[in-house]
Formats: sequence, structure tokens, C-alpha cells
Amino acid sequence: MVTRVTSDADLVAAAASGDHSAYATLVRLHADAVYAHALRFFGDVPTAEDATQEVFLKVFRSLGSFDGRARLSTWLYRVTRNVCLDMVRAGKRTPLPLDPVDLEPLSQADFSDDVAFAGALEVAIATLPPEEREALGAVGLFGLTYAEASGTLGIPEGTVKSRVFRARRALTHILRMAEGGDHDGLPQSG
Amino acid sequence: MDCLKAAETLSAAYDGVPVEPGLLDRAHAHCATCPECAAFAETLARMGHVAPPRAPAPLVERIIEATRAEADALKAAPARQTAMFGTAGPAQPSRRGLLPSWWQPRMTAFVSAAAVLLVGVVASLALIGQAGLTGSEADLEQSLDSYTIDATVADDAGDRGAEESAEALGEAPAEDAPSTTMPAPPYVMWNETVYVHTGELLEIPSEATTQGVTVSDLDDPEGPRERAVIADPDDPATIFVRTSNGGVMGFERVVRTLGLREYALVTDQAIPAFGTWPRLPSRFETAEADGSPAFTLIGFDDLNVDVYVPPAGDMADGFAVAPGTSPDDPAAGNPYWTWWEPVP
Repeated sequence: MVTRVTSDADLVAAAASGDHSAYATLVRLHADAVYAHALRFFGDVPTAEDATQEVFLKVFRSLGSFDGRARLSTWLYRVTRNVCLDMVRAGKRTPLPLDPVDLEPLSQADFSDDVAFAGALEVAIATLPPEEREALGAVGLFGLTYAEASGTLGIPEGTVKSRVFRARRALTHILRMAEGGDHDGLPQSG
Repeated sequence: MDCLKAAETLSAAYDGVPVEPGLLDRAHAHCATCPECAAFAETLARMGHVAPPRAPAPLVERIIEATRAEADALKAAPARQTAMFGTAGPAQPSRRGLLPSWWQPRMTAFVSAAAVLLVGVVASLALIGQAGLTGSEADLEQSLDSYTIDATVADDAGDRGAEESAEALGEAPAEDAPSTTMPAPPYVMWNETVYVHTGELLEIPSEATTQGVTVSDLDDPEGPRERAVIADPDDPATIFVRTSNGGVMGFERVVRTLGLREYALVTDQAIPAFGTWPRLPSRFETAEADGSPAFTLIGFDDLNVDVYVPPAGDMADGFAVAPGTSPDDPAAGNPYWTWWEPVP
């Protein structure tokens, strides 16, 4: 059996030349990252779906402008971020967190199975400061390098690194506490 | 190794960042003796195993169908209004409604003129009715005065129509005309590229040498004159211009990004004085026979600003941006269309 691996750049080129199945493949490959970012940004499914659709329509209409110098995921992240921010600027949608006290606290549970852990992780991510959640999403969902995220977010590479680290450290703390850990789970200095 | 260093090392390694040889081993060794860091490492590993929220399958299919429908519509529509592939124009986004965006100001003028006409007709009917009721010439004159005011509005609408024609040449709609807009930022033009003032400088980089001249008043009451442009040939993103008193002013190239690539603001129209807005290169100042604008929407840049290309134009050669961009846009406030070319 021969497995044919097609790069994003090849798919974009094919889609830009009118091959819609190539674009469908791109959508299937990247929809989860876009949707997950939007869901974490807004916190509700209908808005996340609207944002996801808007992102892929915008990308579709601008395929010809993608010159392949950067990775598609970098461009896609930037478009996703802008679409979400534009929806907020339009005044019709509100990003998370409304107020941390409004968020449902993470109930104590056994996270030994991945489904429970994944659910708890999403709740914990919602409690992160937006800038940490954003950096974590760029790196974790879209697979951007620190340098790529730095360029897209307009912050130094070191700041991306520290925000991602702080986010993970906070998530560890929240999840361990929810799981009934008897320590705060935070790596301490010394 | 302390806890913080161990956790930072694990986090960076998890993201594929190369770490010093042995550092990762020491971080793992630390975790073997430190429950907190072990918990961090375990959580990190588990995060990598669980999938983030997945896009619902119906949503994915809906998106694919929506773009397929748009692609089909593009193929069926006249090339002038559509065509996003290759060098032709783009699809009009659905949010724009039935008419292309460049028709919106025309429709506004048309609706305004129609409204004025309607007001005139209503006023005439009222006038006739009132005159018939009172028979008073004074009342009639008063009503005519009112009508005259409406007629002035009608003239304004006519002027607006003329400006709409001008818009076809890349100029702004009436409400954004230069007479009613604020002055431009302190721009200079050199090598057909627009630069904006960044501040006074104490010294010029040692690599910079005189590369040519530009004509600008630099806000000096003596007016425009030729001034030496000093730049590092390897870094033309920044230039330095000599002032009359021997000082130096720094300027940065005005750019926007599209697809993460930089495009510079370009014009061949002089910017002899601070406060002058850059205009389209003169080669675009030709309207088509039917008076329609010479640009076609092709997409958007990284700030979600719509970008346009000439008929059969290629984005690789540059694109135009319409007036009316948001305050954080590099063309904010410009009442004219602007032209942007890829930075070499």
C-alpha cells in the first residue's frame, strides 16, 4: 500500500487552481484547530461554529494571496484570531472569560480516563488569562513554533514561551486540585 | 536543577524546542525526586494525548458545501465581478449583499437623489394644496423658500454624483474628500515609496550613506525643497532626511502585511509637504468607458482589510486599498485609494 502525503502548500496550490476537493481536504485537516480556538475564545458552540465557517470562507476567498513563504497553519491562526476579534469588535459576541467567578468550578473527579481529563482540561483552560490561553492555542492547537507565534501575536519569543509555560503550570495546578491532590502541583523554585 | 528550570525545560522540549544536551535528562532526573514536577510532567504528557474539542462533522460538511457553492458561483459569474483564482478578481463576500462594494456609494447617491426628488414632489403637492387653500402669495413665497432649500440639497446630490465619477479614478467618495479630512501624517516619498516620520535622530547608523534626494517641506515654513536622503542600502525600510538646520529626521517605510508578507505603500505622486495624502500611482488614473472603477476585490490582508487588483491584475504585483480603513490601519484617514507593492 502506498500512502501519498500531500503538504498544505500542495493542497493550497491545488485549491487555488480550482480543485475544490483539495480545499475540502484542507478544511477537514484544520477545522478542529480553528473550531477549538474559537470555542475556547467564545465559550459557546454556536458562536464557535459561526467563527469557524467565517474563517474558512475568508481563507477560501484569499487562497490566491497565500504565497507559501509561511506555513498555512500560521496564516490560518492569524485569520482565526482576527475573525474572533472582529466578531467581538462588532459588538455581538463576548469572549471568555466574562468574569472568572461566573465560570463553573471544576468539580472533583477521577481523571483516569481521557474523556474526563479532556473535559476537565477544557474547563481549566477557560480559567486562564486570555493572553496565556491565546499563546497556548497558537502553539498547542495550530502547532506554531514560538517564533511563529511571536510574529503573529506581536510579542517577543521569550514572552510566548513564558506564557505557554505559565498556562501549563496553572493547568497542572487546577487539575491536580480538582483531582484531590494534596499539594498545589506547582513546580517551586529551589 | 531547581523546579522552575526543570518545568521550563520540560515545557520547551514538549513544544519541540531544542534543549541543551543533558538538560532534558537532568529535568527528568529532577522529576524522579520531586512530586510537584512529576505531576507537571505527567499533566504535560496527558495533555498531548487528549484531543482538543473537535469540529462537529455537520459543520465541516457545511463549510465544504458553502465554499463549493461559492466556487460554482464564481465559475458561473462574469469574470469582471468574480474570479478569485489566478489573476482575476475575487468573489464578493456574502456579507456584502447583492451588489459589489464599489456600488454602495453609488447606490447611496442614487437613494439620496431619489429622496430629494420625493421631498420635492411632496413639497410641491403641499405647496399647491396650501396655495389653493389660502390663495396667499406670501404663503406661496414662504413655501418656495422651503422648496429652494430642498433644491440646494438636490444640487449637493449632483455634486456628489460628480465625485462618484471621480471615485472611479481611485478617489474618495464625497464624505471623505480632502477638504473635510484631517491632514496626513508626516510622509515623504522616496523611490516611489512612502515613508512616515518616526522622530528626530541624534545620530545616523554608520552603514548609512546618501542615497538620493527627496522633495519635502519637512514642515518647514520655507516650503518644499530637495533634501538628501541617507539610508543603509541593505535596510531601505528606514531612511534619514537632512533638515534645513543640519539635523536629521528618521522615517520608516509604510507597510501592511498580507499572508505574512510585507507590502509597501507606493506612489509616483509627489508628497511635497507634510499633511499631503499619498495617492494612487498615476497609471491607475484611467476610468473604464462605463465609468466603473478600475479595481476588483480579490481578498483581504492580515488586518482583514479588503484588497483590490486591477482587471487581470496579479496580487504578486501589488494591490489597492479603498479609503475608510480603521484607525489602526496604515492607511487610516487617507481619503484616496492607496497602492501597495510587495517589499523586495
